[in-house]
Amino acid sequence: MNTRLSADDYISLLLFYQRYAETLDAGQWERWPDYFADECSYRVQARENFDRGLPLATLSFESKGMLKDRVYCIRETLYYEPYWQRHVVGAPVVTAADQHTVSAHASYAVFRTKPDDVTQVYNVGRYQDLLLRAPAAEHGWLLQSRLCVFDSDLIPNSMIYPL
Amino acid sequence: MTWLPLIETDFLPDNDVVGVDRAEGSFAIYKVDGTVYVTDNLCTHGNARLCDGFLEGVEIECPLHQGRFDIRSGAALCAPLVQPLAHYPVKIENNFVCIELQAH
Repeated sequence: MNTRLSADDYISLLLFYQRYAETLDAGQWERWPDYFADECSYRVQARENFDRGLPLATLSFESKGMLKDRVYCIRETLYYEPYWQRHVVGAPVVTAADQHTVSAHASYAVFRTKPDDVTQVYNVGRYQDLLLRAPAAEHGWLLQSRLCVFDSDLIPNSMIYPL
Repeated sequence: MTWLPLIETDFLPDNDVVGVDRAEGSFAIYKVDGTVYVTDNLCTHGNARLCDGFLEGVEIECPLHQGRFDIRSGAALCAPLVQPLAHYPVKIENNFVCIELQAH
């Protein structure tokens, strides 16, 4: 399978990754589902389970509707101490590409800052993505699946916001 | 056919579970009313050892999310379990619990 993208396509893919991170870092949760296709999957899984092929995941959403439901939870129903996130996302590595889809992965580090506290490393791992070319969509691409495999077995406190 | 010795029967507590690690794998060994059963030790849902779980009759409950397996058949009995658990033929030889490993 071809793994080359045109320079324009790669730059737009790069921007997609950066805008995704920017949207989350700004706390614009309502805009988060816009990065996904209607039929999609979003999962956050510890590496210990991913490497063993075990299904246990910290978050596992199977449609855009579930992503919207999560946003509603963040806004209305979950009880938690708010925090800021800061994503540092590496350049995506394209592993497969065809006319309609691109498979890619990228390392990420997410830092967490609580009010009146020092910044902590919150979650570090790798996005493993399947993206659809979507010229009509706002960001030019849509995630059909995003799997966040994080390296530590532990999550400090809890995971409220998406990565 | 290979029979793998795991543990002396004297070390098996009644109606409880112990874990044994071998190069061939990690195994959970149960003794229920005098009968010995052996399954894989790793839960099929997440990275947890069943020997750290709770044995109720012939059901082992995973300590992580309370999924239960039937130790006789390996059947997954409730959510969040989907995949059954590998279980092994057992014989007692020279006071040792031995299991038969399938040729893969």
